[in-house]
Amino acid sequence: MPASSEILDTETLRNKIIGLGEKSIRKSYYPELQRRIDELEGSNRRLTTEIRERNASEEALRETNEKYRALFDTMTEMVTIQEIVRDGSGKPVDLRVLECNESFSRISGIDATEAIGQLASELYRVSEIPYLAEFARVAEGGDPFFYEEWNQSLRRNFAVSVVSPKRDIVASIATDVTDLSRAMDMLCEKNRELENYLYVASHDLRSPLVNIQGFSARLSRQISDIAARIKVIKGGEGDVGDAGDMVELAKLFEENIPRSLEFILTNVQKMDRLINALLTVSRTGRLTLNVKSVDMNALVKNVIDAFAFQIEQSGAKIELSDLPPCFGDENLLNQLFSNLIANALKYRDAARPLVVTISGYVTSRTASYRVKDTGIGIESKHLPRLWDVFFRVNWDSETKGDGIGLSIVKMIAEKHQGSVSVESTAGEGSVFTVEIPVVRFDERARG
Amino acid sequence: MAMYREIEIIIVDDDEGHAELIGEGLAESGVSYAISRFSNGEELWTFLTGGTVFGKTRAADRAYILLLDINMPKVDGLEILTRMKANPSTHDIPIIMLTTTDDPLEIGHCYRLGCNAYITKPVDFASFAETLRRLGLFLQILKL
Repeated sequence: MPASSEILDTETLRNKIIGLGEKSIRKSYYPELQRRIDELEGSNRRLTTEIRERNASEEALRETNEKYRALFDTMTEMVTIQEIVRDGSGKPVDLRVLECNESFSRISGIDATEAIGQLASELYRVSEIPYLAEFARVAEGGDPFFYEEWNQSLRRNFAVSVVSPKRDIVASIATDVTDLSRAMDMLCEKNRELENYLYVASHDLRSPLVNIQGFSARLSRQISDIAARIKVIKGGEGDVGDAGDMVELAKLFEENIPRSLEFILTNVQKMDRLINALLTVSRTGRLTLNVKSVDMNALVKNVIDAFAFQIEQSGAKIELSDLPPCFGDENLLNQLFSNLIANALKYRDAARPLVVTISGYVTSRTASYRVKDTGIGIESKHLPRLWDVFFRVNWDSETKGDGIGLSIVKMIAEKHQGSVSVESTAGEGSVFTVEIPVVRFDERARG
Repeated sequence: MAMYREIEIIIVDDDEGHAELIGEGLAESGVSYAISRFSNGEELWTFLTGGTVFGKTRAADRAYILLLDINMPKVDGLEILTRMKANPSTHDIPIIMLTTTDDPLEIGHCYRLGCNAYITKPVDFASFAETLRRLGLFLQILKL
């Protein structure tokens, strides 16, 4: 075999060169040679190990690189690595893209081949790079910098953090926070609603409380008055005084005290009504929807049937056209339309016959239902507060209500991820439009 | 010579209990002026513009002070305030808002519309009585 003969040849050659033969073993310079051989073999071993280690670390580096590259590209954040471009005087004037990940290309629509090597000003077609001074500061070893920006062309919100992996290089990591911002806006809006709700509720509860406290204080004075007069009578100080005191006592018992008590009891009942109304609102808000396909023709017909008496009494005419189906909770939708129709009947204009027209149509994902009446209408100044709990445009004995009907309508529509709106002209009538999804939805997944 | 005019306090409040407590509180603080009451802005406006409400008609030789609630049926306090300040025959009548609303926006709004004072009805009766007592003292030194 050529390999073994080669080894043999090399062996012979080495023996020849360094004069190592059987007989040389006895020679005096042998230990010196042996030391050199050991030395050479040692360095040979070290070199072999070094090469093996280098290969291994190169392999590890390649693996790490691949790992980071994969991470870089699979990140949902848009990442670009850029170099600060400076003018002759060293002033930062632009950024040059050195690297970008796949999310960058996917979200921005700019391919990596197109982006890499380009100046940011040319790539994004801007005359001035926003936050360039901050980028430069980070690139010079400053603390990382964070900002949020609304990208008009992508119509999305980004939270960007800028870090510097090495001098004059910056990496910007942009997280799409559009959904988060929307959720936040929705939360703020809900919070405002809740605050208003609390304000209105506490305000309306205060009013009867003023009476209860005031008349209780009066009652307490009346009792002291009785006690004082009884004391006088018991003392028997003169006939005239007795007679006068008896008249006063009779007045206290027959008129004054019953009047105080009546005020107290009426206002306790008023508070009770308000608290019950609040509980109704809160219960509606906490109900879990039983979502299914709803035949709205049947549902609205049921609602109208339930109002048959009031409709007949008021001489109202109900015009019902074919309604598209939708997805929702039958009981709550029944409640919603009952409230709207009850309002239409309640706020009719005595001067003309009431006509309530109920119609519906479908637009892409939502079914819209319109309840139009020829009632008294609502003045525009009342519209902003119309959906507030306890808000009543007008209240007297004839149109007594709790003032929660429309807040419940709004709550039910919103629980269905829908909406309700109103258009109204005072003296002509109102149109309430309710939008409900036509596809199945998950109550918990909002927005 | 200035004509002496008798003063009358008009309480405009839809809550009968509140109106009675206000009247009582003022009387207890020593206010000896006549006190009358309307239960909403519509009644008040009819009265102020010369109409007769519950047999009462506005008298030329009387000076009126209004204690006005905001949330009332038919015509509310803000509407009355706006109408009164726009009408020369009612423009000069002093208006004190007396209401349960303590919303700063509402208070600011009333002052912009031209009310003379804004008083929140306290829930606590002791404070309520104290508020009325001070109001009563203020009304007694008011020159009309």
